[in-house]
Amino acid sequence: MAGVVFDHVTKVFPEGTVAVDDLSLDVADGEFLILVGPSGCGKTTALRMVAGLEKISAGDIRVGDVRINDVPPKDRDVAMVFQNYALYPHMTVEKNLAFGLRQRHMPRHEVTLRVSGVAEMLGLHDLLHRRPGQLSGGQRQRVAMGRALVREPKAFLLDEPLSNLDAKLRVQMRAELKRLHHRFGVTTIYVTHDQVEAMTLGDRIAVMTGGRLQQLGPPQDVYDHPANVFVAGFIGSPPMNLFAADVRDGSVTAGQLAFTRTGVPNGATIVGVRPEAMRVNGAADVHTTVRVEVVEPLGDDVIVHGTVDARAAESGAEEEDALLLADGVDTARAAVSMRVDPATGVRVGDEVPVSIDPARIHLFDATTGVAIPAGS
Amino acid sequence: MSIAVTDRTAPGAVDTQTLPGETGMVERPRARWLPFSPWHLLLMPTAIVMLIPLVWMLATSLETIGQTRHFPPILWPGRFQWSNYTATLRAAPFARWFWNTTVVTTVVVLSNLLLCSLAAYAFARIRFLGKQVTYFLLLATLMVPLQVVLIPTFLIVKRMGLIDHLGALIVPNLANVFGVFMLTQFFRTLPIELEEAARIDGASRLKILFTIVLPLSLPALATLAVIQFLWTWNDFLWPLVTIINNTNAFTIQLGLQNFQGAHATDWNLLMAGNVMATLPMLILFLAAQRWFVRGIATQGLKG
Repeated sequence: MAGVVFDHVTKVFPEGTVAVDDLSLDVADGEFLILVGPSGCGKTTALRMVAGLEKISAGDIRVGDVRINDVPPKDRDVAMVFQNYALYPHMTVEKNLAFGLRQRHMPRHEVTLRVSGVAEMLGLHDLLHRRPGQLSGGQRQRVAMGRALVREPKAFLLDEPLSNLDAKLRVQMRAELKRLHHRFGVTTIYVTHDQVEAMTLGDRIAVMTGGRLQQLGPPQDVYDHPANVFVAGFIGSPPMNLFAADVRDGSVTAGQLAFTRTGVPNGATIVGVRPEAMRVNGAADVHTTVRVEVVEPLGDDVIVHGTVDARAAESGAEEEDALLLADGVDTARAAVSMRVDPATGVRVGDEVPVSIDPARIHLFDATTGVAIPAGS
Repeated sequence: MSIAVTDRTAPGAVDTQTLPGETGMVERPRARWLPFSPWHLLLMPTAIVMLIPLVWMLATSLETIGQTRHFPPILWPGRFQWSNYTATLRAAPFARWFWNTTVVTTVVVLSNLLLCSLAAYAFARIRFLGKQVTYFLLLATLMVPLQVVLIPTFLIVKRMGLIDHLGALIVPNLANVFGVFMLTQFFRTLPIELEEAARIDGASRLKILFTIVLPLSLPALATLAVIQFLWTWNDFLWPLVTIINNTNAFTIQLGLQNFQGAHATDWNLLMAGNVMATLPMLILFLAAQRWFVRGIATQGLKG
C-alpha cells in the first residue's frame, strides 16, 4: 500500500482542452479520497492519469515514493473499477477475477486461492462459472470490485462505480464499499458526481471544476465552510441558496434579508444560506418571507421550494436545465429551498415567515467567489 | 395505483394491455389474403431464375453426351448417368487440383485472419505517426481494380520465382485491404474500457488482441473467413495468369477451364467437374449464410 501524490499535474488534450489544471493533491496511505465535481471537471481524467490510461502533460504523480509518469499501466500496481465495469464478456467470473493474476504469472494454486478468497468475501462463490451477461447489475458490480481486490494493489481507483445501479442497490453497495475499505485499508481514489456518495464515503473530498481543485477537506468541513461560491452551490442537496447582496458599513442587505457583519468590505457580495438554516416561524435575528411554490415531503423532512424578495446569485454549479427553467422567472424574486420539519404544515401558496441565525449565513466575494470568513 | 394491478394469470382477469377499443398499443393480426408475405410473389420467380443455371449444370452433369446437345435443353435427363463423375475424375487430375485449391484457400484464409487482425488493431487502437494517411491510402487501393495491378503484381511474383508455383497464388493474397478495413471498423465498436482494464491488469498489446479483442470479434472474423474463402476458391483470373505450364499447380477453376479446352464437346463431363468444384462453396455458403449476410449488411460493401 502507498499514498498517491499529485504534484502540479496538468493534462492538456491534443486538441487543446485543458482537462486538469495544476492539480496538487496528497492522498494519504489508506485514505478514501473522493474526487467530486460536475461532468467535464477533469476528475475522471485525473484518475485515468494515475491508472496510466492518459499521459501526464506536466507535473508528477507518485504512488508511494515512485514517480509513475513514465511507468506503463501494468507496472503501476493500481487497480481500477470502471463505470460500466468492463468485465470481459467472454470469460467466466472466475477467469475475470484471475485474469490480472495470470498476466503476472502467479502460480496456479495461488491464483485459485486468492480468487476463491475474494469470491467468498463478496458472495460470488455460486457465480464463478457464469459469464457477466448472466449476472445482475449488482453482481457485475461486485465482480468488478473483486477483480480489483484480488490483485491486492497499492491503490484503488474507482470511476463512478455505482452510477449504473438502481437507487436501492446503490445505497447497499455504498455501505459495502465502506466496509471493504475498512477491512483492507487500501488507498482509494473515488470519482463521482454524486455528492451523497461524496459526503458519505470519503475521508476527505476534493471538489473540482474546470480542471481546477476548488476545495479539499473532510466532507463535513467542506459542507460547513465552503471555500467559494462554487463549492457552496455544488455540495448539498438542495444546494445552498445564494442571493446577490449589498454591503454598506457592515450592514448586509439582500432584498428583505438584512443583517450586520463586521469586517466586510463595502460593495456587492453574495449571501449564502443552507436550506436547513432557514427556520419557519423561528426566533432568530434575520427575517424574511418565503412564498411557497412547491412542497416535497421526504418523510422525515419536507423540502419547500419558493421565492423570496431578493436577487438570485449564481454559483456556476447549476445544471444547465435549471438555468433554462429559471429563465423568464421574475428576477426581482430569488428562488429558494428550505428543509423544514413536516410539523410546520407548510402548504403551496402560503407566505411563511422565516428566520435565519446570522451565524449560519455565508458571505462570498461577488467577483472572485471566495468565501469571506465570519468576523474578519 | 396499486388497485389497478391485476393478476394476469387469474382466469377472467382483464389484460390491461389489450383493452378493447385501444389502438396503437396492440399489434393487431394483419388481414392475410396470402399464406405468405406478398413480397414472395416477386422473390420466388427471381429465385427460380437464379436457380436455373445451377439446375441446368446439375442436370447436364448426369446426361449422356447426346442429351447435352439437344435443343431445347433437357432439364430432366430421365436416366442419370452417374458414370460421368468417375469419367471426369479419370480424365484429369481433379483430386490434385482440389488439393491445390484447398491448400491455397486454407493458407490464404488463415493468414488473412491473422494479418488483417494485426493491422486492423493497430489502425483501430494504436496512435502512430501517419496513421490517418496510411489508412486512407490503404482504403484508396480498394478502388483500384485487379486488372490495373495485374501486370506489376505478376512481375513481382515472377521476380520472386513463384510463377507456376502455388506460392504465386498465396503470397500476393496473404492479407487484403478489405479485411483490414472490415476488422478495423469492427474493433472500433468494441468498448475501449475492456482493453483499458486489461492494460491495467497487466496484459500487453498482443495479449489484449488475442485474449480480449479477437474472442469478442468472432462474428467479424467468421464473416471475413467466409468472404475470403469464396474469393480465393472462385478466383480464376490470377491463377490463369500465374500458373502457365505446370498442370500440377492448377487450381480447380483453372483445371475446369483447361478441361473445357481439351474436351470442348464433353459438356456432361465438364459440368460434372463444375458440380464438384461448386459443392464446397454451396455447403459453406449454406452453413455460413448468416455471417455472410451480416458481413455485407454491416459493412455496406459488396462482397
